[in-house]
Amino acid sequence: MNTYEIDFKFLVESDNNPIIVFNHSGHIIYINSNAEILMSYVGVKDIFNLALNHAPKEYGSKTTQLELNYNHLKFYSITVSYINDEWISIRLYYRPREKMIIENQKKNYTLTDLNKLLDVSIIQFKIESTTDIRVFTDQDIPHILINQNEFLKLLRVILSQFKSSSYLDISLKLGIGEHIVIDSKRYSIVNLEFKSTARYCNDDKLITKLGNKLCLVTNLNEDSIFLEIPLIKN
Amino acid sequence: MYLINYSKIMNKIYQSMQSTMEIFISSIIYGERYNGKTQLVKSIYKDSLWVDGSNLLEVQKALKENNYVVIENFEKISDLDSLNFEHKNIVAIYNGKNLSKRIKEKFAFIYHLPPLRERDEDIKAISNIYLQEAKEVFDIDENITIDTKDLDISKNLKSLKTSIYKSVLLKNIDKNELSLLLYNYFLKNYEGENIYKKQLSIFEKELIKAGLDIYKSQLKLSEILGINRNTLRKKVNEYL
Repeated sequence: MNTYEIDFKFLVESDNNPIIVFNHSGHIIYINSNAEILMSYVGVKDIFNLALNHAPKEYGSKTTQLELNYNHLKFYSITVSYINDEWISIRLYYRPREKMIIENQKKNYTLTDLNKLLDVSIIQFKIESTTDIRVFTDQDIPHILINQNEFLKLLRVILSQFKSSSYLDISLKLGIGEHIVIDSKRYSIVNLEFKSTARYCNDDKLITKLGNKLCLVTNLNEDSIFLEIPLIKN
Repeated sequence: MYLINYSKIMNKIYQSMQSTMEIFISSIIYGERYNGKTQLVKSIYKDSLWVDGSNLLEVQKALKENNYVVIENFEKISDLDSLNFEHKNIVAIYNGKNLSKRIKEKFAFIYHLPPLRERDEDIKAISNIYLQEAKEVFDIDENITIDTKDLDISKNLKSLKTSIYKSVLLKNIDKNELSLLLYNYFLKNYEGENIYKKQLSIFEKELIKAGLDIYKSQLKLSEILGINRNTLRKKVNEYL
């Protein structure tokens, strides 16, 4: 049998799932790039405690099925491993996303400034709503290909879920290091979040349906709606 | 002249519609007939192709060949699913108080324009426009004030315009025109018995009412009219 020198660190680094290694006192001693995204939504202590609570009784490895939601990041399982008392690792498995096919819809896509669509949606929403809206946007987001009519429909339905809220925070920004795979192609992500204290949930099915039609991921929470929009340029 | 931009709601809808002019979007505006929807849309989309919802083939053809289309009388559309709004700027005008769920799902933006009776600022401003318009049509220079109780807004702009034109016309009628009016009226109403007594009331009632408004006292009025005060009292009791 031939022997090869295998670069395991490269394999771990390029894993699509977050992997974090802690020392015995809970400090991170290794983190892959996907875990860096996770850590912007959850505290180090929370993940360390999660690892301790699901660690195997003896040295080795243990996989546990459990639903975990950190903002829009959703996981269905974790594996906790250790072979001595110096370190402990945790790997979180992303819940698979619904398969999305974009090609047959591209004929209705137009190169679009998302900030513009957000602006006109807010103007329309404010005709009948007194909700105080605070917008935090990245004006440098590149124009993307999207079906303008369907996206505006989605924004109208989403905003109507907050029509009785006293305030609504909207943020539009590039998802640094995040990506989405559609038709085997990787696309960067633009994140659009709507957040208040509560919201109506009567149109959640419609929001999901419109989101799927637009090939974007909709994350619906009690007080917020989070969209991951693929940055399609051509 | 477009009758827009007076009330807050009109202003907001106008601004919103204007902000979407450069976008591929389907919008619908609904509300009672003649409440100003068409005027509002016309002020923004006068260069779009306008088609009527009662002619489905014409609408389908317009959508196939044009990017900017306004569909009037959208409530008359017989086959909603046959309309393709993709990659276009579409405005539909719907006469009705409510929209079905199917129609709501077809459009990106939905606007509701309330009836005129709920838009006081618009009634005042639009009445003035119609008043000036009527004065021009009937070639009247003098100042005319119209009592708001004479305004009919039961059919929104349509009945408002008619009521103002009628008021202006009636305030400026001369003796010959009045004679002609009465003549035509009597021609149509010469039926039954005791016609003299019945039709005389049309003249007598208004003559006494106007006299009382001017002189306030029946005694004075009886002198002016040259009739016995007891006769006048009897007629006042009969007519007023």
